[in-house]
Amino acid sequence: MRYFDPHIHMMSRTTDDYENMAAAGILGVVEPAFWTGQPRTQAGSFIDYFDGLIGWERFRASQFGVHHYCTIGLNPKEANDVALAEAVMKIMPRYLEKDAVVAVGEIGFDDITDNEERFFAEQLELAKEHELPVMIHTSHRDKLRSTERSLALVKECGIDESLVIMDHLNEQTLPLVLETGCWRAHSIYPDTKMSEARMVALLQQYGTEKMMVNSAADWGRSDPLKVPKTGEAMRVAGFSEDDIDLVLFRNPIEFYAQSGRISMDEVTAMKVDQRTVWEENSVLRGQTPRVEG
Amino acid sequence: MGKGQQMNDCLARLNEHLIEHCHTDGSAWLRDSLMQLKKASPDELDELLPRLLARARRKVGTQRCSYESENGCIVIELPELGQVELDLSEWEVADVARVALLIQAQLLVPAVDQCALVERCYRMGDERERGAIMRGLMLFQYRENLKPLALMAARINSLLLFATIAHSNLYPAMYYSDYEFNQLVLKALFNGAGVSSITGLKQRANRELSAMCEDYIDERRDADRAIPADIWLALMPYASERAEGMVLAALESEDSAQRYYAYEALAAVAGDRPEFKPLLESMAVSENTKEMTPEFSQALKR
Ligand SMILES: [Zn+2]
Repeated sequence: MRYFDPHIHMMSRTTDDYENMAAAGILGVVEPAFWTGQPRTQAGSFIDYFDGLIGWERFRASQFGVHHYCTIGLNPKEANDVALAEAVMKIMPRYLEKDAVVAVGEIGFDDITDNEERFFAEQLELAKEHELPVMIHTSHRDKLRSTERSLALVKECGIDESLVIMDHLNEQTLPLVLETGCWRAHSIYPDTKMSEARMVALLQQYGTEKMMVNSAADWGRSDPLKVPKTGEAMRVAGFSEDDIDLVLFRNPIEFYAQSGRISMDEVTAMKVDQRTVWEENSVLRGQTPRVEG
Repeated sequence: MGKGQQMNDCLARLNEHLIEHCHTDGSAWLRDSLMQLKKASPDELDELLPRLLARARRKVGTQRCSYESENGCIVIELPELGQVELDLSEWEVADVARVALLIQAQLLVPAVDQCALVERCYRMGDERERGAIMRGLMLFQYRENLKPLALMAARINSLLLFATIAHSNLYPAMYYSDYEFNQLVLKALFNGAGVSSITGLKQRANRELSAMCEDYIDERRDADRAIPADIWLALMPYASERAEGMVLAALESEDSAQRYYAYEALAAVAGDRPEFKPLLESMAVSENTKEMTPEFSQALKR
């Protein structure tokens, strides 16, 4: 079984997680840029964070055979620090050109303020300019209203809805998104938001089209194996292997492939590059060692 | 021939190479991009260059430059150095394209800004863009001033980037002090990147390096950990009597990689040390009864 976790914050996870994820069949992940638990005080912190997403974390993932992609964006919480947000908007375009970046995100609303709306809209424009998909986070509080306003903004901005994911959906908000052309993502958490059982019920009720599932695991209480666990729950509920593969592998990749920077073909079981393996493993094993004469 | 002219020739040579190894769309994209750079104002250049560098890999592709017949090397005429053979066997066509873009951009800015331009692009690049810059170090104007950048790049934990400076790259052998070179070799042993692909290792070997390798072996043995097989290449040229004993012992190792590198390390000094010759010749016979990598059997035939 192959899986893809389209929303997980690996920078806050351990190497044990990578090992367990790879063992559970997760071949690739998308790590959206988000906030880091406390507000950053300067644009330079974003630069280093973005560099980590496109650089070190990508390499770290490869050591465990996991393909790593990311999204770049200014999260809604920090959009409220206007001077900082403006500085971040200036550095974003050059990151949106990078090979590892498959979407703008996660963006959206948190407290639903005017400043949040301003930078949300500006980032939708950036996505249009760069011909990139967008990942929209729906807030934990006031979720219904935040979802409605997000969808309205997407319409207003005129971005193609098939380039948009609405994330962290639940029983209340999914029906709103089903009326649009946006993709539908659900974050499965250990004890809040969505559970595997509720997710299975949603798939039974609404089908598998444009549906995806993620763990949204971060430094909070969360579980990086929620995608394979949902796969197991779907299997028990009688979904076919093809349905499981569609929702938990092909759908997310098909969505992000609209960036032109990820494809179904490349997300295969990774032959761990010997040169990228550490310490005890010789990089030369099985490889042609070259020695100067 | 002036410096600028030489760099133009260098650029032409790289382009030629790229066209040979790249699909037509890719080389057309590069030609067009180089033209855009030439037409850009200084302000436009600052904005355009990072964008082109970032896109290059998607536009020209990821195929390797190496191919059997040419050994992956090309000969390029460089300012101050004359003809230099560069090993492109580890390069992707995207590396060639990125280096070509940077050489072109350097030609468009005043001499005092030429290194700063490369440094800026390094800082703004992702890991592969940074790796391309490391691979291209020998080809940039005022390359000697880029050493701090090379030293910084090698501090990375990512072996992907580390290998672009440590492996098949003439730059460290050419510009590093003994101290800097030794640190690079030791780091390559330590992080598992390996030293057999370090260009100029044999020529740059020194007494201090051999002593560092000997200490490293002691440390590994105390910790009950494996000794990297290719360490013998770095240790042997100036090995102490005790260290030489270690290399000779490695010839008897159960691990064929240990035997292979010990053999290579001894063969490399056998010109000055004829007493090793009978030993190496007898290896050719005794090894035949054991399992051997193709490289080893090739080495034994030499
Ligand atoms: Zn998130």
